[in-house]
Amino acid sequence: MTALPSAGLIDLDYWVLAPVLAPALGALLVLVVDAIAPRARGLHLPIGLTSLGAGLGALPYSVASATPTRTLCTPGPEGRCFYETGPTGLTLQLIALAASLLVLLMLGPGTRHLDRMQRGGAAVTVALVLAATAGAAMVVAARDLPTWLVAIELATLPAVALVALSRGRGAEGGALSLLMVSLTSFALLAVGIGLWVLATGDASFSTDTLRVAFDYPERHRVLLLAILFLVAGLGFKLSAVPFHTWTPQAFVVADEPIAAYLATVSKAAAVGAAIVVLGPLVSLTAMGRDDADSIRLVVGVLAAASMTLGNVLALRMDDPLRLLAWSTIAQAGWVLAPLAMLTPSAVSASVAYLLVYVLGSLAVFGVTAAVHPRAEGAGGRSLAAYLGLARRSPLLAVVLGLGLLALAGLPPAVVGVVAKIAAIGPVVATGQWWLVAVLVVNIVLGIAVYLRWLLYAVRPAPADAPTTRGERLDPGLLIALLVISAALILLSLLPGLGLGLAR
Amino acid sequence: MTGPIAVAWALLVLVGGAPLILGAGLVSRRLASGLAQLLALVAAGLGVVAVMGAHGAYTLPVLRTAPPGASTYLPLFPARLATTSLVATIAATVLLVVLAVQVFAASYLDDDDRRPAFQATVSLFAGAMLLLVVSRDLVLTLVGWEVMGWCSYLLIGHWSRKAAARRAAYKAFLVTRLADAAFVIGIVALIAIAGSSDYGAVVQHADGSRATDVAMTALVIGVLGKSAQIPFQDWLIDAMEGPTPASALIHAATMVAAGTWVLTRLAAALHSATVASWVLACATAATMSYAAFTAFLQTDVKRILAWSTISQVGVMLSPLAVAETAVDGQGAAAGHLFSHAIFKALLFLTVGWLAVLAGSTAARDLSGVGATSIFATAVWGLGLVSLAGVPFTVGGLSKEHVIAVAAWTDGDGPGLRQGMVTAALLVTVAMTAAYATRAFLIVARPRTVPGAEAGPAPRTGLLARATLVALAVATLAGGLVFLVSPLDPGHLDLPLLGVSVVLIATGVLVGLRLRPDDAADPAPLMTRASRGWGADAAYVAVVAKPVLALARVVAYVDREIIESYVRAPGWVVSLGGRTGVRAHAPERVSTDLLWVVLGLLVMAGVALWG
Amino acid sequence: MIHLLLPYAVAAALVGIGTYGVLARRNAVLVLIGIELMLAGAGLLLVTAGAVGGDRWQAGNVLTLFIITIAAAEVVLALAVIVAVFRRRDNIDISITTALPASAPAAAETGDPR
Repeated sequence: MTALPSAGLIDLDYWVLAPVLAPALGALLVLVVDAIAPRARGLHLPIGLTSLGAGLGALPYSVASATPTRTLCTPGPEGRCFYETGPTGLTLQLIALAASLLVLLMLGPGTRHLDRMQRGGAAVTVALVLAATAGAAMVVAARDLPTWLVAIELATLPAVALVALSRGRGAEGGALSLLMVSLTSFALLAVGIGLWVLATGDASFSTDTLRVAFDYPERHRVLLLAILFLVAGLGFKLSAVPFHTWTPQAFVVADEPIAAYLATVSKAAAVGAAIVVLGPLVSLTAMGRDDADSIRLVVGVLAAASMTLGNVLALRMDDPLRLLAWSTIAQAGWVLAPLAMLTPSAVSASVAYLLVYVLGSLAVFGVTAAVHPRAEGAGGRSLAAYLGLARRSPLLAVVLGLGLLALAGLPPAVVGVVAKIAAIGPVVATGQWWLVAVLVVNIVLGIAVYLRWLLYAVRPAPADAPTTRGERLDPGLLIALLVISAALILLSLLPGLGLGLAR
Repeated sequence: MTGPIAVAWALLVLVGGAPLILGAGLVSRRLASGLAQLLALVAAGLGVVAVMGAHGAYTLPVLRTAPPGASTYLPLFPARLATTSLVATIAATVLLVVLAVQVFAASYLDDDDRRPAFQATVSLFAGAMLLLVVSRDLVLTLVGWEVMGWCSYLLIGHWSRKAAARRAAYKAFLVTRLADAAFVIGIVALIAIAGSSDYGAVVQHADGSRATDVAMTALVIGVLGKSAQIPFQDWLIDAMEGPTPASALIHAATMVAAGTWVLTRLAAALHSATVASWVLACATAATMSYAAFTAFLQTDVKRILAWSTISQVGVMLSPLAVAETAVDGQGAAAGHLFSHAIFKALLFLTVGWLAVLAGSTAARDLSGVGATSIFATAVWGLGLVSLAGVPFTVGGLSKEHVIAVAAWTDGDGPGLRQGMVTAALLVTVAMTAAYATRAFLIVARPRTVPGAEAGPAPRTGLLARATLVALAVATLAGGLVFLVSPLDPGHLDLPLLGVSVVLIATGVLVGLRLRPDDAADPAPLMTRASRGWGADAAYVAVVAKPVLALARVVAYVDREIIESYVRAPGWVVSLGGRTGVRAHAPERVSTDLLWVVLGLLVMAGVALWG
Repeated sequence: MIHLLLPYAVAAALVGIGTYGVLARRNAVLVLIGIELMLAGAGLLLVTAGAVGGDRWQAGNVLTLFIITIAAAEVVLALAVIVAVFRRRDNIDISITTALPASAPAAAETGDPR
């Protein structure tokens, strides 16, 4: 089933749209089932998993057909397509859907557990997760402003709700912070869009319109301002400095799978949105124009600041979720650094790094979920709970080791090393030596951050510790951890696989 | 080619046998002991084969290094073994002495739980010495030299549960190591000058230039260290802490003589190096007389033998420094090496046996022990006769040869060097006779002062006795070897022979007259002598303390100055982290919003200004 | 057609006042109002762009509608969260610290393996 019998207005290719439609329909289905049969609580999670699986299953179709894959196209010679994915976009969709699937697995088939974690129970949680995932999958492929705006907000708001529904201690504070920053950023996005339409006279992310706009001096400045507003509006979602302050507050009060969701799918959505915004600039730079040099500087500064501040503060954190929050901020810098170079290979490198980052983060979040089974909220968790993990639970220690080493960029998680090299490559190629220096320093800092945690797991527990610390390994969590570890190991053995995906 | 091949096999047997003996020791001590003796026997047999098969000079390449004709900018490393009949003789002597030591150690260390380790080390040591003897290559020599140094450390410190033994072991190691530094420098310089490490090439290129002179001086200093000459003499005395078979091995046949052997092979080069010859001459002259004098005043018989060794090694080395021709010097040195090996081994092994009978090796305790065993006394006497250099014993023959070579001038009058050395030699002859007499009297005369209680009569095996007999026979009849081998007795100078006899007689009279053992308490002079006249304290003050102080300074610099560069970034990051945590600690939403808007402003500023 | 300076000036004023509201107000609902003002300014910009541009797809006007819709959805969520916060804490002052006393202890006090 490809095109709708042409109504002459727009063509729809449902297979291509499936990665977006499947989660969205799944969310609706969950809500409908909850309305019709409120007692059938065991159905919600399977519905969620199935819809995400369906979305993932439809991805190869887009891969097999022509790249870039287009749909939602208006007819006629000046027709343009509102949905377009190339290899980068498909990889990002893969990341978003797969990460979402793994997060749902981590939330666990035990609905009692979900009820304990989140207010509203399984239905609300699964619906929110699916809705946000649909938004993430959509924003990656959006080629015009309205679609993009709707998608990014669809990806943001359910996350706010998820944090607010957490039963953790202090959840309302974290949710309030996330909410306020989200709203302010939306306002900034709106202003940015207004300026964009003003400058280009067109509501699409196309290279030609930008080129034309950049040629007029007064439009040039307005357009630059528009791009800045858009990037600033996206900054909070990326957890880039100085839009990062909500991250520690929100992570620490949320349940671990929800925090994992914030750290992975939200980031994928943000990176996708940023790539869409900066995409025309990449094409312009490839043409040899220097209009975007100031943007390159700005995004580079954001990346450098995020990396450094994130690593420096993560070194002093004792709560594992706060550590992960600051680590997320630092990794955001790593994802942004190649992106700031505004070259096509740099964009692929950024997405490849994101893939490794997502896998590593999910592994670590999963282990955290197992070690701290109760939603403890702020101040309830400590790294001391990991002492002697290697002896108590070797499986968790190995997964933790894989994840931390992948994030740090150390063997035997070779995939982490490759990702770091892939991220530095474009920066060196463009000749931004100040940024290279910052990257190198941060490699060292990053190793310190993650090894510090790993050392806790490797050291023996103090003699007076209880023999079992109450780790819980639900079947869903176990499956998720095994899948993530397998993916990390596979990518370590065949790093070209990960890099090739993004090209 | 039988010579080199037999020698190569002997090397393999000895070196490969060492871990085998250790392994056998894990199974059973008797098995290890038997294996050790067997291997030593095989090696000695191979040594005899080598002697019989060595007509002329053959060489055997050990390693294939550079292909022939290839030019590299590195010096050539031919790595050859060689056996001339001289080499083969010395090699066979060494191996026979090693056999004696292994057999003796089997019964002497009968109640020692670490006997297999001892015998394994002896085997390895023997292999290293053999390598040094037969090597025709400076690098192989160095390998043997260094391995011997390590093995001597193990052997001296064999009774490692005693603190004194441990200290003696590492003192020996450190002192010789210090000299070895000069040795290595000398070897490297010689290789650099000659462009190859082969002895032949080195001797060819030794042309008396300043470079050769410096190299040979360094080499001589290294030899002085290993041979316990002044100023390195004190380690040998403390090395008596080791078991007697070890002392017999190290101080008779092998390590102290190794330096002599190396200089013998390079005699031509030494002959043309004036400064090196002077250094050697002064050191040996001073040492041989000083050591002989000190030997007379010792309170412990084993130390008498130790000081005697120092003195005799000086005698061994002296002809190399003053001979008119290199060949003469070679012959004299090698001859005395050969005979010293035999009679010193005999003396050490016998004193070991006597010490077991008497309970200790102190002169007081050994006094009169001769009455218990006529056999031991006889053997002891024979060894001492040879030591004193009575004519026609093997010791006498070689000593005469040395004096003759040292004194003989080629017509243009004795130089200062020659005169000094000859005078020292004559003085030494007299004093050697004196302390030899004293040593004999200690054992043979009835006990006059009360001493330690004698221990139970040991179970000395038949083999051990047989060994001593064989060595005694060699002491007497070894002179025959001089007639059939290249150890040329050389110029048998009758006037000098007469002078020696007179000197020996004088010495014996002195020994009979002065009876330091009759006094109940040792005189203060003897006490100071037995402590080596404070040489140990001098070593510590002059070498050990400054080096340790320097090491502390270096450690301080590394820790405080260099490491602070490494710690500084960590401190900076930590400070930054603490500041950041404090800044983020009050988690106010209003601050978050402020940061967002400020961020936008900063971005705009950077973009529009940049 | 009026002079374009007028809508631009009003839009700028709206965004400015809205920003002020976001930064200076302590009550969460008032911050929300500030955000709404900013959105209004953005909407005005878009409508102006639509009137000026003559885009076939009427992007400016369409986007304004989108923004209004999304803003509505956001306000629903925002007020729900604010009500939840109020129920828990009895105030919705965003300038008081939300940090709990035992959060973020210094790593050195818990014996980290440095």
